[in-house]
Amino acid sequence: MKNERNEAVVASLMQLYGPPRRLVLYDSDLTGFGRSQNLGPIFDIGVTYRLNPLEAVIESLVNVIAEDLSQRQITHRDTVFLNKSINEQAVEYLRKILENDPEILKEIHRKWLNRLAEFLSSLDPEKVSTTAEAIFQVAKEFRLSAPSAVQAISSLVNYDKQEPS
Amino acid sequence: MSVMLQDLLDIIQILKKIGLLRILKTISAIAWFILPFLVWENIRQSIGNVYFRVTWGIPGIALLLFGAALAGLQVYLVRSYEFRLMKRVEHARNMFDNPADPENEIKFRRECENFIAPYAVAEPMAMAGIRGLPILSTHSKIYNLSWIINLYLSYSLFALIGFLHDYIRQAILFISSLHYFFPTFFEWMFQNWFLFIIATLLLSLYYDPIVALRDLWPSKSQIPLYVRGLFNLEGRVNLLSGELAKIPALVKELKYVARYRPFVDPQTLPIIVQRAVQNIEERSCNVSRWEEVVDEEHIKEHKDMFMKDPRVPWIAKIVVRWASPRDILKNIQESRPLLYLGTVENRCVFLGLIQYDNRAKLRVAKFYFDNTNIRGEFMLIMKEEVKRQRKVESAVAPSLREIMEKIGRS
Repeated sequence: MKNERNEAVVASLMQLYGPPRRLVLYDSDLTGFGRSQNLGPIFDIGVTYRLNPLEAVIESLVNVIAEDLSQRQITHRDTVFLNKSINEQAVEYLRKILENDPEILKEIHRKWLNRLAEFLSSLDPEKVSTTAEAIFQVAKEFRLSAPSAVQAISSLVNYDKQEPS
Repeated sequence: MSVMLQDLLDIIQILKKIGLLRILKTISAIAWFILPFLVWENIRQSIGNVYFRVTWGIPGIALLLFGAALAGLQVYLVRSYEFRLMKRVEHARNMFDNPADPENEIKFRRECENFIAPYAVAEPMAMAGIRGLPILSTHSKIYNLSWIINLYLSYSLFALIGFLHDYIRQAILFISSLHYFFPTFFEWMFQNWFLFIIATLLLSLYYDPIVALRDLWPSKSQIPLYVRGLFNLEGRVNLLSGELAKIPALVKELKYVARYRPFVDPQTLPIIVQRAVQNIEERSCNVSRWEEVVDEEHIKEHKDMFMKDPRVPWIAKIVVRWASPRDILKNIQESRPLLYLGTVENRCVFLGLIQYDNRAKLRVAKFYFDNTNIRGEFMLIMKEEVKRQRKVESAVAPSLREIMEKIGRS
């Protein structure tokens, strides 16, 4: 029962990675990822399970949840409005999911990396020949900053070596 | 000796100030540009002057002059289009600037959509139009013979250079008088002609899109393509002018523009713009990102919107008239343009367009700023960001193919 519920939660999170919205509005109070104090407990869980790349996965999840929350609460159409408050709400949403069952982060992390691997293999190497373009595509699809996108790709390449025992 | 050493140190200091990499890139672009003329010079030395008469090249020179005028006009019209677009954003802000109206922002965005959409897809549309032009259509016989036209145009220009021989000599003498380095260089160049060609070829490789960027040199089928492209002036002029245009001292207009190629970070861009504006003006900046997703059903509507927009340069409209909906759709889907707008109250301070350049296989970004201070601050922050990116980028393989191979192995 618990497993089924967890699977449903993970699947619903992964479904948020649809095509980016047509219009994204950035409010002036955005400060970038990692400033929220509520992120601390989430990172702690990731560290406990030795999940890598932790920051990239959390950043991506928070951003994609924020887009979804914005669309449901504020804009109701193919437009997203991002501000500090929505980002805080996204962090809180993620924290609540993990509060019920911290182990779910392991499953989210695994699925996220699988999705990244699937996304990379879906790119046409003839068109996306350079790493720079691959980074751009990953950054856009997974709502990541470029350094985090690189970190994620790099972790995927060395996934076997870093997988928790 | 000490004077020479001091001169050398001075030159190094200047190179450091301008940026050594920029100098090397510019030299490489110049080398890429002059390469076909060196080939012509060798042919001239072998077969003699009699085959290089300026009168034989007059139609080619006329065509080149016409092309240069058209290109200049296009650059001017595009720049003024972008300037007017920023003013149009400000106008839309003024139209819907009632804080009491909850629909204020939505009305503003809807107004923007009317003129933002045509701008975001302007380049893919124009490229589709060029493809559709009867002369340049890939299906036409003229297109297949375009390498002969390129060869003739290149010959015409070389014949003109030969005709202006005396003036060029005077120019070389003038350059030689500027610094003792130049006569030494020219002397070396004329004495070691073969070595100079090899050095030019090697330097030019950095910029050759076939050899350097696509990594296809080992493929034998690409060699005829390389030889055919050798005399294509258009690509070389574009690249050289693009490279020279990056030197701020040469182009005044550049004070408001910043270009990045490749551009990799669409997620952080709004925050960088906001930081730059905040640091300079101590005011907050609203940034929005538009993505033009066009489907088959609405492509004709997009074309109509583009043709009817009074702000779109007439030269682009003439070209787009020839564009087929299929080519437009294909180009937009390939380039996937992303457009960013930054406004401070009712002032448009930033306009950015990021799109995929299919020929260079890179994502390119072009940013326009309201003033030089914001541009300067933005570039400073971006420099740090790019440094950070490059540092981590070295951790991954240089191509997607290699990344996928490594993922497959792990």
